[in-house]
Amino acid sequence: MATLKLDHVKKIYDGGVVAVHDFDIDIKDGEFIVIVGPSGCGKSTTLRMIAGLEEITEGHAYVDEKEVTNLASKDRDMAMVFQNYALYAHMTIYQNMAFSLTLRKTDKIEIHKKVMAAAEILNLKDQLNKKPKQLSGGQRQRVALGRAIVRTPKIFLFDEPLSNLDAKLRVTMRREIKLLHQRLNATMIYVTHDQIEALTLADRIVVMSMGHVQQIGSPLEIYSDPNNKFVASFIGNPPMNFIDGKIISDGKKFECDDFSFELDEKRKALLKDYVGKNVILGVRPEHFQEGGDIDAVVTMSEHMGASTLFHCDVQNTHLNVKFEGWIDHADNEIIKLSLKQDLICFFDSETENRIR
Amino acid sequence: MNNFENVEKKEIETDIMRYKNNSLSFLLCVIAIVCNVAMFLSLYSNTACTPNFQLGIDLLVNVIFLLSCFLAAEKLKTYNVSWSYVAFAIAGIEILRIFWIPTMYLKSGLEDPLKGLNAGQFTFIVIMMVIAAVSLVGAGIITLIKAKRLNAHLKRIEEGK
Ligand SMILES: Nc1ncnc2c1ncn2[C@@H]1O[C@H](COP(=O)(O)OP(=O)(O)OP(=O)(O)O)[C@@H](O)[C@H]1O
Ligand SMILES: [Mg+2]
Repeated sequence: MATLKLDHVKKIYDGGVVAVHDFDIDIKDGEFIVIVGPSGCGKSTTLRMIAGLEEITEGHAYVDEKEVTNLASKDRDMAMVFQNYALYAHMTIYQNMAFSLTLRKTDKIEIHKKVMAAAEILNLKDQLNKKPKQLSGGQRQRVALGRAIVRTPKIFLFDEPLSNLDAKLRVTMRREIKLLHQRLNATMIYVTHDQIEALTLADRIVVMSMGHVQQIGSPLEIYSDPNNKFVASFIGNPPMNFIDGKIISDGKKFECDDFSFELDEKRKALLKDYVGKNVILGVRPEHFQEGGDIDAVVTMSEHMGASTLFHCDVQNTHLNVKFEGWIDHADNEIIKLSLKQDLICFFDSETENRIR
Repeated sequence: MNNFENVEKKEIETDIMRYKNNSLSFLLCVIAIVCNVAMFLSLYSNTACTPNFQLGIDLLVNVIFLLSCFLAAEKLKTYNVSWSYVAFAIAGIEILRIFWIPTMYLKSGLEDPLKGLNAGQFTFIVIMMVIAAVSLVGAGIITLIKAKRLNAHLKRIEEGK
């Protein structure tokens, strides 16, 4: 159990590649933090700096208020779970889980208690005498979790632990990790490129892009109140629709090449500095409603059971529109749309930052 | 440490056996194998040992000894009770063997040093064979004790469920 503070941490690799710029966060005791972003954005680098596997070029790291910036990895009391489990093939599951403690010359009675407790939590009691290759992928990943648990570390670090599993197993394991967190109440930092994992697991999400932290916030904040166009586009599936347009008629209307609509009072106030200027409209597929004066031609529909996704064209503008329930519209049918204005976002077209 | 803690410690030690091999018995069997190899290397390197029927049989017995020792090692590792008795039997045969080939060559060696073992070599061979036999008996006894504890423990778990 511990707090972690990263104070303007920066990583420059030997070749001069700046992998992480100015990472600054205060992580509370028992918090579940998910770092999410596209490939190569510096997620693993950040995690490895926290673990002490990678040197921190600039800035400081503190665990429980104590500086650990230059502390060796083994002295940081953190346990890391990797994507490829990294189990020892020739050892039984019991020995795999006990290994790190055996290395530290822990008393074997103590080791046994811890291994059995972890096996109980992870439902591995019947597998302890097997070798890793006799287990399924999900069980192996549970063993890897077990190895971290027995060490009772201050902080758990996960680097894409579920990406080797098939989709269904991922859902199960995701739930188990969530339960594990509730049960152990430990501080956990979890790296993934999967936005669903981020939204379901996190107390707070850190969205990264190209080495920069784009936004830190609760899943709801990240989803409904994105800081900029990148965050808005990265979180949400199907992704947000972005439409380039302009504020016209003294700030009363939004107009793009293919349609326009009247802004409500709140939007007018929000956009008063952008009269006559270019903005980007961002609207999530689920924030359209039927009825209105945007004529959209259905080009394809996808039934997803609980909801229906329509690919529509408003002349040359392509829109993804999602409605609750099983709804049938034939291809080429014209549907009338309007926007739930309370839920739409506008972004500055130059900086791509949210207009607030 | 009070009595209760002692009992609990014993209990956990027994529980650990469910997941750990009986490596002590295994080690003792390996010692028996090593001693036996040392024994026959020493014996057969004596120039007086010329190939004949008796020596052929002894060679065969050695091969069988090594093989069954190896099997016993593997079985005792997993707390197999029946193989403890096999280990006792092998140990008994090893003791009896002392009075056959080595003793025979010692006798002829005492008459003429060129025709057999000297006292030093004989002592080495006997010691090796005794160590091998004692190790095997030890391995068997340890397995018997541990297996009894383990089985009682497993039974308790079974009933507890
Ligand atoms: N040892 C290294 N030396 C130089 N550059 C590196 C090194 N390791 C990583 N990089 C670079 O740093 C950047 C961030 O890498 P990192 O591994 O942190 O990405 P990531 O977000 O974990 O991506 P992924 O999702 O693919 O794992 C990348 O551009 C990468 O090429
Ligand atoms: Mg990575």
